[in-house]
Amino acid sequence: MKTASLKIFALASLALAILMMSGCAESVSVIAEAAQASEAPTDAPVLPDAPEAEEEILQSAEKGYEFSHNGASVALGGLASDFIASAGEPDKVFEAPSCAFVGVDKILYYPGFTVNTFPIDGVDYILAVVFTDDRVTTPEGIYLGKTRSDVETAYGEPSLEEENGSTYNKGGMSLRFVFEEDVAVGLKYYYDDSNEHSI
Amino acid sequence: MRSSFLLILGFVLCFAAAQRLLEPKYMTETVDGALTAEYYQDAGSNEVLFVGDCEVYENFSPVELYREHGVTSTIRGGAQQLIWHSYYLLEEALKHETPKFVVFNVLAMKYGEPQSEPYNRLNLDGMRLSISKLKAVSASATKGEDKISYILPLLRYHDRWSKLSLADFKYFIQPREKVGHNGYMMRSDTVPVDVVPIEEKLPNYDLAEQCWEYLDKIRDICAQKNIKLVLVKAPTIYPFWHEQWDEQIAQYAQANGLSYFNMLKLADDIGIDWDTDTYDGGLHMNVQGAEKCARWIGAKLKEMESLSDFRLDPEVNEIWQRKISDYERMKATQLDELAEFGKIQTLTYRESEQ
Repeated sequence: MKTASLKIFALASLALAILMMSGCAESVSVIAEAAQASEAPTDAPVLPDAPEAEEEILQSAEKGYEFSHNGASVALGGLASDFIASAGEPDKVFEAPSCAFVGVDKILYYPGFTVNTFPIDGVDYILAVVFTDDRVTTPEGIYLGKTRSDVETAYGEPSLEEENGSTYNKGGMSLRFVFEEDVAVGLKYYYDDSNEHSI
Repeated sequence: MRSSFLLILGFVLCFAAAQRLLEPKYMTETVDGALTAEYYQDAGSNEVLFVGDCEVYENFSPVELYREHGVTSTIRGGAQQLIWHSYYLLEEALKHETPKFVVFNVLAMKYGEPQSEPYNRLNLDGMRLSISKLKAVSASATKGEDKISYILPLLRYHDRWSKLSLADFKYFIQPREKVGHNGYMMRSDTVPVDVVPIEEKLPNYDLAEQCWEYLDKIRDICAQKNIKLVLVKAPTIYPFWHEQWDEQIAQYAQANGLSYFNMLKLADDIGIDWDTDTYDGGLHMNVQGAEKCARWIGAKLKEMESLSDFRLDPEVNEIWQRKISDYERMKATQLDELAEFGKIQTLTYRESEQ
């Protein structure tokens, strides 16, 4: 009896030890120390693990819709510093520190558009591009003020059509138009459908 | 038989010890995660209960509410506390106390579905095991989340053994310090509003059906307990609070006989100075701004219903004088750190001896 009990205890202890030593089946970021760097609780998508997420975004960006400014291409998921080096310093920067976790989302203001970034390990990556007025145009010739039919002529049938919006999905990213009375008043290139800072 | 019992007991103790060691302590980083568990220390006889996300636990100072109006209050708030978190945390809180007012911040109405596992952890890890917690876990879980690990956190945190810090061992032995002052997380630094972000247009401004359902549940549970529900939108310039959302909340409040204050629109009335009253460029109030918000909301609540002045109750007042002392001590410490290091370092404190 005693020997059997000891065996049970030994097996249970072994199971506990294995449990502690093994990694999670799902590679969600560990709260606190690990999460603080990789989990940007902001515009950023839920990042399962910093390097993998970065790779995923970069791969997606290769195939998606592109926007360029002054000859500098904006690659969603790419380094914000690369874009700044090519396009120049923004007019101003809005910083949105994360609640709880470490990290600062940024909105870089350029004439006619913003570049929204999120941090991984202190490095800023591009999450979205948002048009703010009609000074900039997409490579397909669309700017704010164009009509819904202009957009459909340029981009075809949208992946998602709403009363006041059309969204085109391509290569893991999206391009969203917002209309008021069938005139484009909003345009956003983004990686994920989460669109605003989380609190 | 006896030896079997002892061996099983030994295993359970080992499991519990491993769990205590490995679970996050929320004492050095991500201190916001400590707030949920701290609620139980402050629960019991509050006349006002604030519920919501960081827009309550960083923007309203219960200590100032007491000091100015003699009103006892606490905050049931957490980082990105979504409306289903709030409902179940409120449901549980109302088993501990029945306040006269519940003040609910409405920013979370913009999130129609679960957002992030780490934030679920911050809000629910510290919640005591109850039916409310089980329901909260079920409502909050993101895709692929392991719900059982909210009951047995070791299943979630078992691989933290390689990341253990001195703090993990320290708080394995010692009781944890406090972060909140009745749920308020203090920041004494100042970063003025420099840039006001441009509002982004959305294709659809309808707040999600699920959020309305939970707001109905919050309304109903308050009504059942004869508690006045007050809706607020805290004064922050970002995340955007679109006018279309504001109108929907205002209509809901009117239809249900509730008060709703968009404090962003009332910032001048409250006396908020965007150069001095925020610590992060307008996303949250600093302690100065949080005290202004507390004084203002206290006056509004007293207009709605007669609230006790507990400053006249020696027993309660003694407790709150200790809270004020702890609060002022932390404020002084943070201001000293700002002067010496240019940034604050102290976010936790030991409560004064009784």
